[in-house]
Amino acid sequence: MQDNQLPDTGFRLTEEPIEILSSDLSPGLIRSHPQTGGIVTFEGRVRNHHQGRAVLRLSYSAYELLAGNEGQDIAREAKERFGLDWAWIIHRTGDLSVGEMAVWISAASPHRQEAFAACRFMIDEVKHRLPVWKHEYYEDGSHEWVYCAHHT
Amino acid sequence: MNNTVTLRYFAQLAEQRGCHTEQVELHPGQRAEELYRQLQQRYRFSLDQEILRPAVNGVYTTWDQELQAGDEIAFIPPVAGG
Repeated sequence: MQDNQLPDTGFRLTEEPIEILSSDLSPGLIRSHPQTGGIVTFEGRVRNHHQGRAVLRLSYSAYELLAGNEGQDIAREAKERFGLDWAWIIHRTGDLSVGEMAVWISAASPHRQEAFAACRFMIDEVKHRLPVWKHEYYEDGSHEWVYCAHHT
Repeated sequence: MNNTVTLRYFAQLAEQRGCHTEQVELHPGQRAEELYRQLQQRYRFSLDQEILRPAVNGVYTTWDQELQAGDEIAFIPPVAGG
């Protein structure tokens, strides 16, 4: 991506490994924000267990129209609330195996405290608001929809 | 059929309905909660209104929102992102 096309807040859904997008994004954000002193990045990854059951893989589906609006709103809210240099969120969709990245969140500010707080704020909001659903497949052959969060 | 809306189904609702989208006709002045109650009876959805959130045209809304012809409506099951 060209630096001059990068907005300070953003949200993307991607069916490809998140690393492709996030590693493309980071250098441009850093170059265009020389005032940044702290970047906090959160990576949510697929773990191999859920409530005592062995997880083999999972599948994420999303409502793209609503997710696009909510994801962008979360990033914008974080930037305003914590005075960030940038706030970015990428969420994966489709089939993922254990160890793969499900979500990537990046918060940057002149000083580290705001970036830590903003990163936590964004992942908490994602878990409550972003219309993404997880279907888990277990070692015993069963599979089911997982509720991570009820709407508040 | 000039009073139709598009329904989008996700997760458990898509599974129970057996499709991801359909067109339905509105009654005049119908609100989101009335539409869901009607659909829940028709398709025997297991999810009660209390654990869903309505969305119209890609934005979360309230259950008392009056629906308009051409709207895209979704009843959002508990989410599980991250």
